[in-house]
Amino acid sequence: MSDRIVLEAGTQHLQGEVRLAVTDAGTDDAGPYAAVRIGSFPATTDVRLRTGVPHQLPDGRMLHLAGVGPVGRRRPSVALEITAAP
Amino acid sequence: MNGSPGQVRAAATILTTAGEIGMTSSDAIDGLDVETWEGSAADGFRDRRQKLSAEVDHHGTDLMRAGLTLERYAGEMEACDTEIAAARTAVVQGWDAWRANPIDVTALTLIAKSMNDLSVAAHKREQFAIHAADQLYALIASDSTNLPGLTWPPAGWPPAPSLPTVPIPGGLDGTSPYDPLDVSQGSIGDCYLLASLMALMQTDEGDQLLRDNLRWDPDRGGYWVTLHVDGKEVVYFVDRAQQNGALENGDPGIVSIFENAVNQHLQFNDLNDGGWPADALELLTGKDTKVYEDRTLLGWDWDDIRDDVRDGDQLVAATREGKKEGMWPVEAQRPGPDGTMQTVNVDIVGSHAYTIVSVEKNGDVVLMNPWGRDNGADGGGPIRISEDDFTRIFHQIASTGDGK
Amino acid sequence: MDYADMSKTADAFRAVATDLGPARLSGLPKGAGSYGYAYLAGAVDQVVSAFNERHDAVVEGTKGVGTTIDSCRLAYQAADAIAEANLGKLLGRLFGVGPR
Repeated sequence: MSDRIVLEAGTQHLQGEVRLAVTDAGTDDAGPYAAVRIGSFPATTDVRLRTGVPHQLPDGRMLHLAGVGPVGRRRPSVALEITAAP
Repeated sequence: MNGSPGQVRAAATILTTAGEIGMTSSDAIDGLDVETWEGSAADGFRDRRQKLSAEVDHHGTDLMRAGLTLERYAGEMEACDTEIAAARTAVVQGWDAWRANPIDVTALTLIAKSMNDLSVAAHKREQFAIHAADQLYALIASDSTNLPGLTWPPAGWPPAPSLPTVPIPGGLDGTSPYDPLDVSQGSIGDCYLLASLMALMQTDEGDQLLRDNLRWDPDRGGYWVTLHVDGKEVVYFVDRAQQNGALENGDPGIVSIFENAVNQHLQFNDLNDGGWPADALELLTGKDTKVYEDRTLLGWDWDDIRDDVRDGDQLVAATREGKKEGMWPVEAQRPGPDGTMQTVNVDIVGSHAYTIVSVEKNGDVVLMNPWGRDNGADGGGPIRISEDDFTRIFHQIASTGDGK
Repeated sequence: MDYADMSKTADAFRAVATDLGPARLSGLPKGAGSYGYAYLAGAVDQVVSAFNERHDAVVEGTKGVGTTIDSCRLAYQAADAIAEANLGKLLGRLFGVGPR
C-alpha cells in the first residue's frame, strides 16, 4: 500500500505525523530532483530527492520521487510516493 | 517589444467566433426532437441529446473564454507597450538633460525612475502573458493526457483538477475566531490567497469584510461566498473543502471555504500555480490594490508602506526565488517561551507570499508565513527580520491602502 | 410514431454537425513573435490542439445521434413489416385466403 501525493513547489503536506515541504524542484545535470524539507522547525532534515533513490522518513516509511513536472509550467510540481517501511 | 496585439486579437477573434458557433449549435441540438417517439430507445435518445448539447455548450464556452483571455491580454500588452514607450522617451530625455548639465540631479533621478518604470512595465507585461497562458491551460487541464505538458501527474495518478474534497462544518461564519495564527496552507500552491486572507483576519475591518462576504445557508448545507471580479460581485456556493488544502487548527475552516470559492472562480490549475497577492486582495475585497516594488536605485516607499500599516490596511509581500534549495536562510527574532525576543535562524521560503504584520520604526518587518504552525521553515507565528534582509529577499508588497 | 419526423430529426443532427465545421480552429497566429512569449505561444498551441480534438469528438457525436435515430427508425420499420407479414399469415389461416 502506498500513498501518492502531488505537491506544488513551495507548499507543504502533512503525511500522517510527518510534515513534508517541497522547497524546490526541477532538473539538473543528474536529472529530476525535489528539495524536500522533512519535519517541523527547528527539527528538520533537508533531502535532495532523486527518482529511484528513496529516503527513509523518521517513522520508517520510504519517500520516493516519482517525477517532476509539468515541463514548461511556471512553478514545478513533484509527485511523491510513500511506501511502507522495508 | 516582441509580440503583436493585432495578431493576438486575430487569434482571439478566431476563438470567439468558433465559440459562438458552438453555443448556437448547442441551442440547436436542444431544439431537436421527435415528438411522437416514446419508449426506452426514445429516452436513451433524449438523454444522449442532453449530454451532447452540454458537451457542445461546454466546448463553445471554453472557446469563448480562451478568446476573451487573449482579447484581454492584447489590451494589457498595448497598455504596457504604451508605458514602456513613455519610459523609454523619459530615459532619453533624462540622458539628454544630464549630458547638457552633468550636475543636474533631477536628470539622474528621472533616469533612475524611468529605468525602473521600464523594468516594471516589462515585468508586468510578462506577468500578463503568464496569467493568460495559465488561464488557457486551466481550460484544457482535464482533457486528454496525450498533450505535451499535460501528462501531469504521472499516468495512473489522480489529476489535480479532480482532487477529492472533504466536508466543511456548518455555521463557521459565526463561530470561527478568524485568527490568522490558526491558518496553515496545504498542498495547494495558493500562498498568495492565504497570506491575503491572513492579512484580512488580523484586523477588525478585515474580519468584518470576510464575514460580510460569507453566509452559511443551513437549508442547502453550504456557504455563499462573494468574490469581487472587475468591480462586480460574483457569488459562489461552497459545501466542500479541497482535500489537502488549507486548514485552520487542523480542520477545514473559513480559509478552506474561500479557497474552494476561488478554486471555482480560477479553476484548479490557475489557483494551484501561484499568483499575485494584489489579485487575491482585489478578489477578496473588491478594492483597488496598490503595489509597491523594490525599485532600482530608489528602493521601497517605506513612508507610504508605514502609512498603510498605520491606517490598518492589509499588506502582503512576495519573495524572490530562493537561493538555497528554494529558501532564504535568515536571522530573525521572535518571542520565546518566556515572552522575551529571541534570535533564531529560520528560512524564508522563496517564490512565496507572507502576511505583513507590522513595519517597525527601525525598519524591521514582522511577517507571518501562511504555512502556519509547526511548519518546517520558521515554525509559524510572527517573525521579525531586518529591513536589509527584507529588501534582499522580497520584491513586491501588495496593499489595500493608498500610501497616504 | 412518425417515421418521416425521425428522418427529419436525423437529418437535422447531421446539419448541425455541418454547421459546427467552421468552429474547427485553423489559421491562428503562431509563435512567440505573435504572442510575445514562448510560454504563452506554447499554451495557445496546446489549447488549439486540445480544442480541435474536442471539436472532432463533438462533430462525430452529433453525426452519431443522427445515425442512431436512423437505425432506430429502420428497426421499427422492419418490426412493423414482420408484424404485418405475420398478421397476413394469421388472417389467411383464419379465413382461407392468401397463398397456400
